[in-house]
Amino acid sequence: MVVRRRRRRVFHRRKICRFCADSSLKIDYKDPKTLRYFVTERGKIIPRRISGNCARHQRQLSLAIKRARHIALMPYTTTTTF
Amino acid sequence: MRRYETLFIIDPELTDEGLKDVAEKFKNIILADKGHIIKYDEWGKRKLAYPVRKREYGFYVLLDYCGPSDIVNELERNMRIDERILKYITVKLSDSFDQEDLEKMKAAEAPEQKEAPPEEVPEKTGEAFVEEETKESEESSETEEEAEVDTESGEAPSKKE
Repeated sequence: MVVRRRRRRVFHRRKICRFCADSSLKIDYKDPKTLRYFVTERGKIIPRRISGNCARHQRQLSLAIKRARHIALMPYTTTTTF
Repeated sequence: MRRYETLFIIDPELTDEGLKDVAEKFKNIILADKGHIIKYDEWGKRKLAYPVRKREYGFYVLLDYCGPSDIVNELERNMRIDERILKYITVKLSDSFDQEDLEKMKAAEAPEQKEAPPEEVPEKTGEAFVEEETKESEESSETEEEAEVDTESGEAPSKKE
């Protein structure tokens, strides 16, 4: 049990905020192509603990996604049946 | 003066004349309220992420302008009334924007447009997207594994041992 846990720990990598690492990457509600990497297939915003974004950029990102949804550039939800 | 941008969707079933008509109307509203149009950028017909008034497509237009704050109220009021506008969003870009800034921008933009490289851009973005996708899938698999460890250690240690 303990051994297994240790082996898995190795995979744990510290996530870095993609927007902090690459300053050329801008958060813009008019650019759904970039925003799409931060929502699930269903269109839900991916939480910070998974995407690894910093608080500041996650805040800007969620605002941008919400604006993009409002102007029909991104979906609020998808209607595909699984 | 403040600088705003309004992104709005025009009914795609309009003719070219109809689109011009809409453009004229909203440009005039801004000019009448002592505003200045910086850019009127027609994105063209795009698929909407979800149907709006039973339409699957929309004609997107980005209007970049500056003026006093009443201008937004007036513009949005007219957009709400106008049947040809499906949706609109207005975002404030900066709090202070003077005539000088406007002239500076015009001066800066003119040479930029000539130098802009037309060919390289699409290729680069394509590669970047592939890279990002793989990264994301790695991350998601990691988190799944973490979750597994937690449940094993927390809830059912006796079974394993």
